[in-house]
Amino acid sequence: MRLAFVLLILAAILAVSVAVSLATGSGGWGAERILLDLRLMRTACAGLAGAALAVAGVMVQGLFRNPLASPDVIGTTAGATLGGQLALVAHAALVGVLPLWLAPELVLPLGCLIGAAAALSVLLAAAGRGGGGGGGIVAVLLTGFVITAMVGALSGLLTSLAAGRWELARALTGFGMGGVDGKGIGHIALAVPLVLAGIGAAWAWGRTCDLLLAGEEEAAALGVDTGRARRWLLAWTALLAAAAVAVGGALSFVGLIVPHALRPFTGVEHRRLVPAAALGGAALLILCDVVARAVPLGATWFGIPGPGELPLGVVTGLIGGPVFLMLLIRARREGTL
Amino acid sequence: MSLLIDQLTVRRGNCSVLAEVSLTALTGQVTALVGPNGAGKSTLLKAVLGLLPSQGRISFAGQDLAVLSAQARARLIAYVPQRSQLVAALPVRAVVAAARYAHHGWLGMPRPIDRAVVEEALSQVDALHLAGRTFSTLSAGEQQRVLVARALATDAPCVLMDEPTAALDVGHALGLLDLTRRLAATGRCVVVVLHQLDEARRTANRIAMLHRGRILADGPPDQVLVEAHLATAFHVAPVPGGALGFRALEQS
Repeated sequence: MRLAFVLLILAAILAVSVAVSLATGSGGWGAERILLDLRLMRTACAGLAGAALAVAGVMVQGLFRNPLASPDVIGTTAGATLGGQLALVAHAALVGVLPLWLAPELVLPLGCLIGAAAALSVLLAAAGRGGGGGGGIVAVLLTGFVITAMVGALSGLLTSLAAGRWELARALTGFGMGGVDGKGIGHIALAVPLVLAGIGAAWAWGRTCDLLLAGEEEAAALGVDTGRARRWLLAWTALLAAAAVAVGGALSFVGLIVPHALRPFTGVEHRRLVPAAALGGAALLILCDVVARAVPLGATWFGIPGPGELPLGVVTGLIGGPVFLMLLIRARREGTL
Repeated sequence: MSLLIDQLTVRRGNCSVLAEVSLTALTGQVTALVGPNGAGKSTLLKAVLGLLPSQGRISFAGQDLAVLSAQARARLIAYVPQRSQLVAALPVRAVVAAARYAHHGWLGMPRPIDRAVVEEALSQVDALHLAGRTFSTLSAGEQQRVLVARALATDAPCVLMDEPTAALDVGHALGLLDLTRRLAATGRCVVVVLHQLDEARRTANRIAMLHRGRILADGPPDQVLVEAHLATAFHVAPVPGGALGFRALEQS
């Protein structure tokens, strides 16, 4: 299928998603301006996070030669989340020392970036990059599982330590569950250049990723400086995952589902897949956010005030989990796991 | 122009896989590397490609390969692996076009000349009709021809092939060996690892026989494939009266 046609279709789906997102909520299109502005903010955040996660998924799958890799499955999102939570705690601890203009959303991306880079480095050191055979895939998935579990434990420890400060503990818990509500123009202004730079870099490194699909030996023989390529791909993946977590918290499976869904239409060449993944990821997460807002949860649960809306991370997890299991079963049947 | 390997040593742990190997492969010739399993043939190719840490000096056309970038080296030396490790469903044309990476790097865009080179390379190996197919759906023989086309599309003056006939039937194997001779005839330096000694005898202008990481013999085929060397390296002897047959020797 011609790439231009695929991109046109995806752009149309994205436009419809944005329109539905802006119209979802009390008052629909006729709501007050301030409500529409809030919806526009969260729609933009969902779009940015979705695009960033999907493109990061494309890069991670190319780097590890592993179709089951994605930033959340291999622990990168968890690393970014812990980094972000540490940044929030550090900001709260130093609130009297830091300048007033240094808002939490300004330190958040840096914390996310350091956390994502650390998690990716641990994965690469522990599981390597071969990934071609079954052992490689299992090693990557198991290491990702261990990183996610360890980081989750540290994240839980951090949240429990912060329990004395109710607002901070609530912020940490909300960040861990993922969501785009309550985000402002500051989040968007920080995320836009990071996400655009990350998507541009992923497109530029696309040919290198194509060559890496044949393994590092063949790629090196064809002229790829594999060490340099690996370092840059890791850095850009960490940046994209960090930007996504900074605006959307811990969101799972977007980076896994979107590249898989689009490859039948774009093919596996990365320079074709990256722009399609950016559009598709943005549309998917905006629609997930619409679902999160549209599902009625009730005002109270057992007498306790309800959360008001479904956390976005719960929606992506409920959609992505079964898809991941389906891919695992298919990989087993095909003998690649 | 020639490929010069001088005192090449490759170690894995405490074990020397190659020990002070010196070899010259001339342009316009096919040089075959033969030897029993584990003799160090593939290791030698990988050392030339810079894929393994090694000691000694390797140069092509007077240029020390150790100081070249991966991209500059790939413009001089092309490589045909025994089998590609490609796991994704890339189209054949994209697989061959990957060879042009060495000419414009990670950021470059394919130019019209690159497309022409890719078509020409596919045509040379009689694989133009496969260009639109997915690489992973091809037979072993077809994949091998595409990998040779990829090596040709690099425009490198030196081509290294690692057991290119291993997965091929006799017809395709003969066709591929004929292609290696044609490549040499166009002025390239062709170094090919072969397991079948009769293939080496028929194809190569020169044979280097490796045994336990060292060069046992090096020269024209009729001087290398002699009873003494065959007995030492392979524990076989030529069948009396048969030009290409061998029989196993009694193990002492």
